[in-house]
Amino acid sequence: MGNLTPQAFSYVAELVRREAAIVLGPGKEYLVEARLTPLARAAGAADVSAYVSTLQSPARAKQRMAVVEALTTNETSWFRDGEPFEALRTTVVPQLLTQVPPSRRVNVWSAACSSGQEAYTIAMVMAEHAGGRKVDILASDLSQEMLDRTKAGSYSQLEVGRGLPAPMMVKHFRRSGTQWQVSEQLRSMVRTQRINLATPFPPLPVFDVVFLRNVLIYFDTPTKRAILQRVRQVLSPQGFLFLGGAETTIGIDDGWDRTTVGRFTLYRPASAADPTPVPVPSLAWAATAEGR
Amino acid sequence: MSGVISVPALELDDVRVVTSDVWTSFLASHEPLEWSPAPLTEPEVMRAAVEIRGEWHGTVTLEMSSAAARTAARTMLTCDELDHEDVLDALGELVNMIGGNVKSLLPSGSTLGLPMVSSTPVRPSVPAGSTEHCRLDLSWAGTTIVVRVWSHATEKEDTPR
Amino acid sequence: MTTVRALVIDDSRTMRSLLSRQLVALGYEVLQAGHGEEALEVLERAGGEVPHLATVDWNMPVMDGLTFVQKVRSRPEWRSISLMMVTTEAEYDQIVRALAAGAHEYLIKPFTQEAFIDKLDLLGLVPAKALS
Repeated sequence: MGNLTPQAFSYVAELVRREAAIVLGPGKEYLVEARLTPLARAAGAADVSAYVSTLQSPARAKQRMAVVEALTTNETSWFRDGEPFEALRTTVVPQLLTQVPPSRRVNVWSAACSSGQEAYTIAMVMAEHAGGRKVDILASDLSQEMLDRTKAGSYSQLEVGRGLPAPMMVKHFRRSGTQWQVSEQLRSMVRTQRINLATPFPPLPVFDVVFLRNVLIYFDTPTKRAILQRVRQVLSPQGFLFLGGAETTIGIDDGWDRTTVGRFTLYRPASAADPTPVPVPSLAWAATAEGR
Repeated sequence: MSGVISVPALELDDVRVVTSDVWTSFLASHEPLEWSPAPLTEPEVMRAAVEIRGEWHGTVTLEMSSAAARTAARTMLTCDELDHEDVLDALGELVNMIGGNVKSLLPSGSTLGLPMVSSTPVRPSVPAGSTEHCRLDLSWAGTTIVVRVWSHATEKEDTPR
Repeated sequence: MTTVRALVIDDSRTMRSLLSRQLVALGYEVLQAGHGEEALEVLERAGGEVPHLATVDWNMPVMDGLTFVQKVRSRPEWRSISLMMVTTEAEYDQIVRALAAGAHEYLIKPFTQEAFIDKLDLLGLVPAKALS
């Protein structure tokens, strides 16, 4: 335990901003303390501030990357950042209800789903606001362990406390020993599949909504562009792309139009002259998709 | 004739998870908890206890050395100058959280008592005839902490307390 | 910017100290009470300047947290107070009871600082300067 010096906090904030385009504003000192204490301890430093002062030599590039990693690891919370799910509720879902024929289910993709909080948050919003429409949420990740966790839908008490409104918790979860279990209704909306975003995608359906939040930061610009182009290929022309708070397509891929909902930016395939082929649902997808 | 109601549903690992969550939340600035091979041998030990009353009647206790208790209190209160009352209160709140979460694993309708903290051997923390249902020895801050769940002996009639 | 005010209600002074510290770090002015009745007295004395937030322990002597919540929610002049249970009561049915009584949020002890701030954020109670 130690008190983080302003200099140490500034250094770390600047490092993370430069390397990962993540903004750590005032008030986030507790986050830096919490995330870096294990690293500081492992390095034998007296406290986080002392550890941070050792990072500044050129020879410490690897340690600096570990610090960036520790601070940008997907925070596994429900309704993460709030606003995207407000936008989903107030703007995206109502539009989907008019533009998606009632006979067709709404398709959503939670890419890089980690332990599944994002996928189940989307499921909760849909269950509450999609007017009973059938919704299918694909949760994908590179890690089989994360996919297994997502599929199980079982969370510890500490995990379930992260950003989940209490009324949502009692509505969609039940206790199971020391864990909290997502309801069968929500679980039935989510299916898992292992997908590596950095390589060509396997056959996929046409999605109405894609969540690609806080994962592009791990890739270089050419790969980011390739991923965004691949995503555009599987997104409906009237579809929506959700990126992380500090992320943008600007300067990376110009095939997107931007629209703001409050302070949040939504991306949609550009309607401009560039004749992007209309995505056709791949027949092979139905055969290879994991059983529902 | 007295008998003991055991709590088959309560596993050692459940108690470990509950205790670990308390430590992660409020004492994470020190090393995490691990299983301890070493018993608690310090001469000055503090014990906190909280009762659970319901279908099952028992007590959850938390024991650690006085030094460890002061470390815990200092961490939770972020304050170096503590009086004895502060340490008692901090330890009581720790057992309150462990006990409360253990209670939530039991059949609903149980109630939690107020935490009692003492430095042994001032007074026993569990009624005579209680049976230790499970015991957790954990290593923390260079010492051992012990969490135990006790089942109270029951009698055909209620005994005045 | 108006000052944000909080009332921390818990019979454990360790918990009161812990919660107060976290709230003060976020820019709050914090008052404390050791049980529900004491907390009601604080609210009566507050007049027009009621707290924006009350954190409410459940198990307390004299008046428990559930009773306090019911009493607060029955007073129109106290409608603006956000009520967050902060308690070891972790049973599903207890959470339902508290929400039915009018609590706005429910935080199970133990909780991390991040989780507490998340809950404040859900209530719109994180002062702007603390967000990135």
